[in-house]
Amino acid sequence: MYLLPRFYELNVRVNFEENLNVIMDKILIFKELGYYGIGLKVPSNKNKIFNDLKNSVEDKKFKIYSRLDLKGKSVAGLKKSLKNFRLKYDLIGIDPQNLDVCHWAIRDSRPDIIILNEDKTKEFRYTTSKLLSAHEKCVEISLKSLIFMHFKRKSKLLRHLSNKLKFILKSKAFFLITMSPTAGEIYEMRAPRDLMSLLYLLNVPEDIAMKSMSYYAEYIVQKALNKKDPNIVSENIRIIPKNKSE
Amino acid sequence: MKLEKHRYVVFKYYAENEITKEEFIKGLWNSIYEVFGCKGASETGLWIIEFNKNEKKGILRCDLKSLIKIRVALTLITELPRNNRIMFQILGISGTIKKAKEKFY
Repeated sequence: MYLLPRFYELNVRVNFEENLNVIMDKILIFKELGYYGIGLKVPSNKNKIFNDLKNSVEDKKFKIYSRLDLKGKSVAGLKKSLKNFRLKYDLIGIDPQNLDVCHWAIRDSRPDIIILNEDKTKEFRYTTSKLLSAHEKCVEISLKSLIFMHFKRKSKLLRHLSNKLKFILKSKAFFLITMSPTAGEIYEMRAPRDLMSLLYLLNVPEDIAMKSMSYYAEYIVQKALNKKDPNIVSENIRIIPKNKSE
Repeated sequence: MKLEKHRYVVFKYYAENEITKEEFIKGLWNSIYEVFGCKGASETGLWIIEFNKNEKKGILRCDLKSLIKIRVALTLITELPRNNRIMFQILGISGTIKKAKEKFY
């Protein structure tokens, strides 16, 4: 049987000050666009609203995950923040401000996603990709600037991004990548297949484009949820109660 | 001579304010020119078949080989004249106009 891929958008911003119905309408558009799951950035004091939202919107064909992004210049500061928040969120993204923090975040088991902004991709080296590959960490590349920039700036960004992606794809140490338009409003959202077509501009093969929007993202979500599950000891090892058989 | 193969693209849009067919055509051509240039635009064979501003849907025709270009151009449209923010979603692609209307429109 041929299974259709499940598309994920793991970086969605919503203004939690707005009415719950307005937020719900925005989120339902993601469902309409063909996404199976979204990662919603939730402020630390809005967890109750997020739970209400999750209960009312989530069903068998649509899932919502809470996400927290941490930005840091020092490892010590990030360690402290991670200690406080890691069990409160489904997904944790790290926006490293320098290469040391980036390498630490890759080695640490708590962060799930490493955010790679355009200006920081210059620092991307083979050692980083080797580490990413070894620790099965996912790199998130934002396509927002590509969509919203125009003319000269867009062409510069296109060249820069396609060079970097060429480096990643040809690298021996291949690692997971996901693409995201980092949508906050309806007009910033894009359907998954439309985003895949944007990767054509960056010379990314079709299968990798498809995987970056679906399988890789699903793998990251599943891995993050397994970490929170107390019955899972390590990868592929699950505690099963004696009377139950699976 | 070999006939060119066409594809019919059914799309839907979410816009801040109402848009006219002319505004849409101008926006789409601008987007194609911006990304693919004059030569790329000439290869698309773009033609707007239908544009329904009440249902916020439309159908356009393009060459099979430049289908991806049209998809990219529609994805990259962010704003139309009068500061009207817009987002396009492709509902489906078909080889005949009849099927496109039956299935997706």
